[in-house]
Amino acid sequence: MMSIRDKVAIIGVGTTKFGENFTQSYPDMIVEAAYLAFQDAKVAPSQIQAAWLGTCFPDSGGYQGNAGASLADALSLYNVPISRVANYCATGTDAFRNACFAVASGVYDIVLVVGAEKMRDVTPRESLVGQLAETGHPVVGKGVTAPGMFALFATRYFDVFGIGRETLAKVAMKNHRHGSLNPDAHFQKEITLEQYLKAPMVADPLGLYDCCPQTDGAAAAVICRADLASTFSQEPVLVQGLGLANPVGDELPFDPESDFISFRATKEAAQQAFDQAGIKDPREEIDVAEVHDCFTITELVTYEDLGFCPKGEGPRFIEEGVPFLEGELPVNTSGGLKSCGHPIGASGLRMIGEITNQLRGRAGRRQVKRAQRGLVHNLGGLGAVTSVIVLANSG
Amino acid sequence: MIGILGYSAYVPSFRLPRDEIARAWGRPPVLPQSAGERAVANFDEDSVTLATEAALRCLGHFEGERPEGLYFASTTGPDQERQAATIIAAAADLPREIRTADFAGSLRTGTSAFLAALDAVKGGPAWSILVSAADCRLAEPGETAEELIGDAAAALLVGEGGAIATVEAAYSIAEEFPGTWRQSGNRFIQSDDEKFAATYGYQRLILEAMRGLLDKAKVSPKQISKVVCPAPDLGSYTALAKASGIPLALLQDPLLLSVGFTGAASPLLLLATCLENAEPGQLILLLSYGSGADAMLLSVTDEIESYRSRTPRDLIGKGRPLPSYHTYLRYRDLVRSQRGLWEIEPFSSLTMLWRERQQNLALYGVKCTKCDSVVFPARRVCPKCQTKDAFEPYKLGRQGKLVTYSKDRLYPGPESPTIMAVIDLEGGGRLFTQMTDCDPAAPRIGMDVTLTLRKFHEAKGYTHYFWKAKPLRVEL
Repeated sequence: MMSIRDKVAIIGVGTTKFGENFTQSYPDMIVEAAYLAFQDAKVAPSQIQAAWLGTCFPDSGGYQGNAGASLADALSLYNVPISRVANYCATGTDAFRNACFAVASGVYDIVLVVGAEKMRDVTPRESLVGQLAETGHPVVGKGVTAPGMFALFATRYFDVFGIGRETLAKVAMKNHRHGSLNPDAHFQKEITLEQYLKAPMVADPLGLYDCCPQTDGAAAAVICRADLASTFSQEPVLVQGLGLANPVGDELPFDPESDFISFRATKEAAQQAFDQAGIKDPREEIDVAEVHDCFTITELVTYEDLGFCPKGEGPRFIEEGVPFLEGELPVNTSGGLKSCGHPIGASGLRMIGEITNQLRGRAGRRQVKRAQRGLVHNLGGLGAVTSVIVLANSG
Repeated sequence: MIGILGYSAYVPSFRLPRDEIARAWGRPPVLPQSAGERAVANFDEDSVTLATEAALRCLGHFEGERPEGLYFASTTGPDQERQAATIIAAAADLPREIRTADFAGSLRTGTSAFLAALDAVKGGPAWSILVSAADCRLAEPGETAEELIGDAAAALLVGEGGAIATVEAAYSIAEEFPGTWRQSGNRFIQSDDEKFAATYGYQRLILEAMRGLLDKAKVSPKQISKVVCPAPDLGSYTALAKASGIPLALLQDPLLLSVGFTGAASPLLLLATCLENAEPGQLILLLSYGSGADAMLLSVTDEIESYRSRTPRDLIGKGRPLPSYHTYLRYRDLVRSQRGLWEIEPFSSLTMLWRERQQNLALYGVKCTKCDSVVFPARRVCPKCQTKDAFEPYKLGRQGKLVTYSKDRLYPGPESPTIMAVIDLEGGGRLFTQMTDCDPAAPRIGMDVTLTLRKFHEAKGYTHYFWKAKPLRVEL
């Protein structure tokens, strides 16, 4: 098997403001994200040879985003082939991954990837909650929402490692603090432990501040063959590893081997990406990471699954301040899904944008010092699929 | 020896104190001396699920023996056209080659089904038939009957050989009488002149059937050890007792104070509680009323003792108090709840449900013949050894232990929180499903749970049943 390492470069990224974008339509957001990426890459739309669109739940927006045609219509980009990708909450990173393979194959030199999700043209209850309640098997596994599923992990993790909500609060407070520095985040305010503890419960043991909100947004990246990158950009970011794993599918809660304290999909996707990137000790070799904190428990478990710390040491990892902006291995400098919100298809590309900017030294007040290599982790379903991407600057 | 081979009862977990109902309507309770309480089915229960639970409990006492027929008796079967008995038989994993029938239309229908089962066994087409009677009747909110009704089910296995009680004689009267009734399309029972109904209906017809039976069987009232007679209310019952000349001590407790009047289930439920304490050789008089009356004379055999020694006691259980009268209204879908019962119509495909009927109703998974993995839901390629089409159907156990759980306040279900549970089942396999009859403070990892058939939703106007988990033992 060939490795993807150093075959593809990111030359431009763009992200809309994430939030309840009531004044923007789904195509409006695509246009904004794509043109920010074009501008960043210093390319014209006419130079794009193919495109990928990541949207996970088109039903919330009247079926916009169900096919590549939605991207063609938004950008009036009718002369190139466009595919739509959906892979649960890992949709954005998987659209990126597919685009990388197309470029690495040599068929295309320069392509566009856009992730977009319009969630708040309907009420929050009609959005993801409604989707989960209305869809799925008529009776088997019936009764879940996203927080309800991830709370299964929190309950078990608490029981096995003897921790409580105060530990999850630290993850929420960290990501809110980071989000307060991000002008594109849905929430840009810090929270206190008291606020966290007083907030209503959503799916015990997860409360309001353990959960990401329902958010609109789009993010885009322009990528090209690594050997052509220097003709477009002074500071291209190289793709070093692309992992994707779906070791248990949708059946995780029915699988007698599921331990509810770790995600096999994350471990396996990370191993693929680390092997490609030549990473032996992720804690030492990764400088900054954007991980999938759809819920605080997910981030806590992910520290361990990515090998940032041993199993069961996630609580100590956060308590010692390692994943804070000023810490040894900053995690979710953007504020994560917790502060940015989680427009499903857009999140992965927003994370790629954040890491790209960190590696180019363009993260402003959130800049991590000497960031050479970064990681993006995007998890879908209840660990049904995880995508892990390793990016590095070319310096 | 043809007769009753086994019996069981199921009374739902919740009890609504009568003074709570009375307080809600600003009046004294109907039974002022000792108001008592009534059993209330959970929001996800109906007559089909009540009868299923009773049927499964009864069959649980007869390992390996499958009846050749299943009769369901109720005035509140949820469907006019969709047989409840077939649903119950499927949930009990009975073979397809059996007789099934729904008996309805009268409060007497429980004993009608019992008599029909006896006839079928006597006539030879079936070795045994399970009769499960359940009712979940509704009175219009505020009517006194609302306090008196209780929801419950009882089942009898009727068959040949090893009977714990034989039926010595039976006597029936059919008479059109306007006691209580309910037209199609009306959720609430109706009545007219209650005094007329109590004296000229209930009392006269039951006494006529009782006397007719005793004459026919040439048995003197003195030979009777116990009289089992449903009580729709306390006044009618005590008046009947007085008019009959039966000493109060001979009357089986009608459970009016602890459970309520359980409609079509009542005669069988009371008979079950009577058999709990019956002695070999005793004669029991079973009475039943509605569109006439049935009277049956039962003789308890020596088998009763060995039957009781191998079956659990405490048929009725204690129950837990329902938080409020409003909760009762919500559970019965009588008020629009904040989170309406069917606020969101879930996806359904009835074709899919039919295809999966064995999986979803009889609760089957599959077991890999190559690596012994038990997998639920069923699939074709083994997730452990990747062998294709090497699975055989595998009946999952109904008990298990809680692996983890969550209490979801966001899910738009009728009860908040929706407790979701991951369960390792005895005998293998893991199930992920909702919990029910469970105090939100109760779940603990490692807790023993048991599975019970419940209503999930009514997408496409079709009641969807599946299994939920409930605590095996309830801490009171």
